[in-house]
Amino acid sequence: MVYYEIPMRIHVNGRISELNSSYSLHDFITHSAKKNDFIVAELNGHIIKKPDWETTRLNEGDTLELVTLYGGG
Amino acid sequence: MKTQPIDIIEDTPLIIGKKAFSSRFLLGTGKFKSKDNLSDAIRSSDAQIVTVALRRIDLERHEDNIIEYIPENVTFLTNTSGARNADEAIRIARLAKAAGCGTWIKIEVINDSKYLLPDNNETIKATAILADEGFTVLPYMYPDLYAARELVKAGAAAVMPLGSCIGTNQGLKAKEFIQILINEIDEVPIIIDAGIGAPSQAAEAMEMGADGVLANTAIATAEKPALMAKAFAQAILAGRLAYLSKLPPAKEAAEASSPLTGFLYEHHDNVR
Amino acid sequence: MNTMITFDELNRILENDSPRRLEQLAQDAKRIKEQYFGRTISLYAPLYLSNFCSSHCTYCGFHSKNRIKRFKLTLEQMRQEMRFLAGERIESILLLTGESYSVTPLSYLKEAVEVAKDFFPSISLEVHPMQAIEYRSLFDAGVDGVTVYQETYDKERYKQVHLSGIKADYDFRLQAPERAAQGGIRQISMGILLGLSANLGEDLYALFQHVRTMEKKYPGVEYSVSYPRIRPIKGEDFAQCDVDDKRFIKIICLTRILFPRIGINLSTRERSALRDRAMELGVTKMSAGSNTSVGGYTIEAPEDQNPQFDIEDRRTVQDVIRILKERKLDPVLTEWRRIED
Repeated sequence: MVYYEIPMRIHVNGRISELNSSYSLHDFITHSAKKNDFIVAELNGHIIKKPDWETTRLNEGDTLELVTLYGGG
Repeated sequence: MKTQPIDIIEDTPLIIGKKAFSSRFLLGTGKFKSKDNLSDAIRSSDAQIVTVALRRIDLERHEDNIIEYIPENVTFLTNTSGARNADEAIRIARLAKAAGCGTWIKIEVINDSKYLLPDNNETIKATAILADEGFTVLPYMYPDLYAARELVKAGAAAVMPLGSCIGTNQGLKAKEFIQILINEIDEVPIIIDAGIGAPSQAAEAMEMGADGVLANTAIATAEKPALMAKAFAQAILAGRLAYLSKLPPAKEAAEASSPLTGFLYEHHDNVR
Repeated sequence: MNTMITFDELNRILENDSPRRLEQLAQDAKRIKEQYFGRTISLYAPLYLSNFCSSHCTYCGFHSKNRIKRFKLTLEQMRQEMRFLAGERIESILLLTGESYSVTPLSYLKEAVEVAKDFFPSISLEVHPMQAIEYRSLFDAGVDGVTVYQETYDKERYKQVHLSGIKADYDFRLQAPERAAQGGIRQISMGILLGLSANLGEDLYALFQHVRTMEKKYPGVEYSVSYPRIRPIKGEDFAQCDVDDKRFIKIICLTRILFPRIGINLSTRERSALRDRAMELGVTKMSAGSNTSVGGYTIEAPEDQNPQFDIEDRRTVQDVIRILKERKLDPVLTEWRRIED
């Protein structure tokens, strides 16, 4: 769901990402990452639970960390 | 392919936290050339616990998720790799829990890029906090008896001393000190982690009385990972059986010196 | 994982009469002792402060029902006895009393320790079992070590020979080493009276378990064990099993092998000849120039003395030091010196 058309920049996984509108967290994630059940979103230092992704809006300057499981020792 | 069941000697299960396992082989999932290699290795070794890591999603590539390559009923042990202190380890653990991979955490706190040695002090701090939050904590540590005792006190479900530095395949460089931990810590399992480069080293670890072995690099970087994984599983079983049947201790050559107890057999007033 | 032998293994070792096997044990014990202790033997002397006792231990010369002269040293008498021992070069003193909270209460013990501090850098106590808070108080006063032998871990036999008084409480005594550790005591000595119980194997095993448990729970404490062999009192023999020299040596060697860093103490109950040999086989501590009567060093005439047990090795401290040196052993009279505040 698009809220309004204002370009903005957020930090995602350490990089700056330019968005042309404000997305919900849910939309951003489904747009950016391959579907998997084990994605965690940490927005501005807080873990956002999956049920809340739809209602959480990304704002200018937000820092988003998207992590998932990988192989490791 | 399942390893041959050994019915001669019974063993107690490996109990970590609230779970019991029949396999004492923990497999790390890093550095595999392909995810298929990984799933084959897990299957061929019957490993019941695998370590996984939390990483930032690579948004450029759309990879398959590793979870799909891990059979069901395998326990995920999420490591806190990347953490340089207790706070970072705790943060990763909470992320892992939120990700839905369960609450089993391998605490790996390393602030040393040269040797990759774990920081025992930070590990103890993280263990205490996470154990309190209900995580099943398996801390990776440098074999130090005081630290091991602190980890047990802090609520660790196992203690995982390094065999030698991560990725070096040098085997049990820390053998004597690991033996001390095995001798003195009986509240939780001792699982040797890091540096195990060959099945023979894994067998050696189990012969010493370790409760389990965690290996990664040796399997992932082998030419035939599934075969190597199976070799490890069998070596771990062999070492365990050897331990259970009580290896006689290696005897040093007896010194040829004059008898110390001859006087007890002399017949005169001085001996009762 | 246990580094202990099993009960069956222990009994097998005790039963095995093979001289070759005993020799092997002795060689191992000697090697291990030298590895961890060098060729040192720590020397100390006992000083009996009082033989007042409210416990009735059937096998002891001091027991409450025995009609002996009861005697408790005054501070001046303590000083006199201590001066004598210090003159003999003793620097590590073991203060003993019979078991009487009323005659030799904590305050008396603390006074004794205070006096002892003028003469000896190292002070240990072998008195009635106390509460942790009392041990703490003694530790603060300057006590380094506490000795408390369970005598036997066999509850039935324990009941048979400890008829009344504080000592009749098996559990209170059993937990004394733990309370001493909780009170901060740095050196704790435990042991059994060999021969008191018919079940030697069980008693030994129980002692080993007790020591292991203490080591695990209080790893910062220095432990030692002692194996006094029961001796007849006034002609009456209380031994229920014979622990001959071979067995005795075997027990010492086995202890050394199983507990490489533990102290093993040999008292003057044992004959000189045996002590001289045992010195090489795992023993790390010996009393020397001992007298086990109250006031026995300088106050009571020999014919008036009532020793707790008969001494078999009557050599003076000088004699013992000389013999040790002749055997290239290293007599140690104290392991530290006090730093005055």
